[in-house]
Amino acid sequence: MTMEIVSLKSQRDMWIKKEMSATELVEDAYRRIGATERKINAYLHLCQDEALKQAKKVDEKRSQGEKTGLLAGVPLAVKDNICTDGIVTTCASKMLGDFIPPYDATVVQKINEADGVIIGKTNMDEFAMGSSTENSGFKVTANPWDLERVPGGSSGGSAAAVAAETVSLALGSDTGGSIRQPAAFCGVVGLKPTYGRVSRSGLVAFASSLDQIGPLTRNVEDSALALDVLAGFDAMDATSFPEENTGSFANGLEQSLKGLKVALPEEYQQEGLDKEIHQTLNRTVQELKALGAMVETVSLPYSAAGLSAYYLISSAEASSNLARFDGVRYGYRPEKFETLEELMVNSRSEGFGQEVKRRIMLGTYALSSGYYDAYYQRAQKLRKKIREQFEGLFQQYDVVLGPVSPILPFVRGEKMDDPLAMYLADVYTVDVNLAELPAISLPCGFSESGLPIGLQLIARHFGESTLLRTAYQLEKSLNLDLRNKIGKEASK
Amino acid sequence: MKIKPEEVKYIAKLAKLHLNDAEINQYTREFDDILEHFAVIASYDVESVDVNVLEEGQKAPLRKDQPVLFGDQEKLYKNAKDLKNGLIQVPKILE
Repeated sequence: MTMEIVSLKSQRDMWIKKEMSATELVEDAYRRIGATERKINAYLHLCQDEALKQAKKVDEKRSQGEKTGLLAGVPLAVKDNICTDGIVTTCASKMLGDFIPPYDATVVQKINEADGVIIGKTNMDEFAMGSSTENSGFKVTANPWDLERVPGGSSGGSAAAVAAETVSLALGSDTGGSIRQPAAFCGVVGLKPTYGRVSRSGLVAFASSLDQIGPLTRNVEDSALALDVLAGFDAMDATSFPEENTGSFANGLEQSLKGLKVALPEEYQQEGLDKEIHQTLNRTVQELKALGAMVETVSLPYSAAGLSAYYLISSAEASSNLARFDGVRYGYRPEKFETLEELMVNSRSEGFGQEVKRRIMLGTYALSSGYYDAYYQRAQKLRKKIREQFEGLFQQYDVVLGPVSPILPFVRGEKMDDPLAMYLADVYTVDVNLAELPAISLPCGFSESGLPIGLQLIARHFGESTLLRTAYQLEKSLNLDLRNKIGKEASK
Repeated sequence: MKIKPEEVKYIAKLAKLHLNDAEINQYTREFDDILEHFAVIASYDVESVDVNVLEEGQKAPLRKDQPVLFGDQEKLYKNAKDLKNGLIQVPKILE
């Protein structure tokens, strides 16, 4: 038995109604992977034995009358920088090619407690550094909408896995747009929660003050349901936020947008923004107005500095976080070394890929004596200004609307020789991480060539409910057909 | 030129990375472009911004500093490449 459209809610409902067991749902997911993976390469590892064991456990729980969780029976995928106990976690790096974590990340524990079933780990840019998933040390993932094009990154495997309809939910991580940009490129919904909303414990750190885990799903309601499972305070993460339980994020989605105040920053419509993306943005503004929202143009003067501040801060943090990979306790060890210094230098030089080395170098430079004040310190000050700028805006507006990416999904290899051009593609997503805000990437249209176009909604800190409601209403009124050929084939 | 090859070489040394000559030239060229773009941050007046204080209402919830035993000790060492008598072995650092 196969389902026409894979959504988290439909799978959960099928399990609840006993139309499909968790084992059948998991087997169906692997059948879908079998039908698509040769073309897409979304997964780095599949964990069939563990998944079938967990599925059996979930089915048994029900037959014994035990209470089951929110994700009961749902097969899902996890980005390969999130630790899974006993299952290899590589960060798509040769450095961690054989690394088997001795513990689960908090989000993985939460998934297990909610009776979800992890079926595999998804491809990504090495250590989440990149915007195309081409920086993976192992394989290159294709965009299910056009196999010649990139799925975006760094959570490109997760976005492609959902777009190819192999799973209804995949976890990603977003440091500067790594959930939202691949979601936009692959025509799926990507949510970057407020910094502190979801525990980072067990997420291999890239830039600790910016990283946040979030869900990639086929629709907004699934995103809300996934956030219900992932969110919450965790004593293992000192930056996780102690909050009151306010009920499900899916509550209130149906509420009208009448009176909603939306800000449209003029800086998010600059030269370099693809014409078709701009047109989609204009059409979406009209759609929001038709739904009763008020849309006004605003200015965010500091956002022009956002990209530079982001790359300086994230690279500086990466240079520190990745110092732990030295070949001593775990990870890649070179064949040739005589001294301890050689062991460390050779491990890092042979184990890290080019982009990771580039960021470590850039970060080391920004933190080095003589340049600290001009680069790192100044970037931190600009970060504070960007944060304040958004806080001011959210005193008057509920939501900020803008593009996710200035460009459409590009052809593989097109930007690999020009790191700056690749960095510039993050220009509209990084401010959100610097200001620690929640944002959602929602498919809002297509290019003439049939490529998906995603737009971004941003809300105030811990304003995910407003974000999800706006996205849900917009999704409903746009009513786009978001199925691609690969996904349809997988469902046959 | 914002950056010279000697500086790239020195930064690589600090970052414990070995780069060959071709890589040094490549990174020098790329960093030059990137740093030129980053120059925009110098155009903002941020002298009065204090980043050394926590935002109002901002706090880091800390847990009690209590040692907790990790259940499976063997698991912790599973990824170590060179173990001797339960300890990780590295080359001698003192003669």
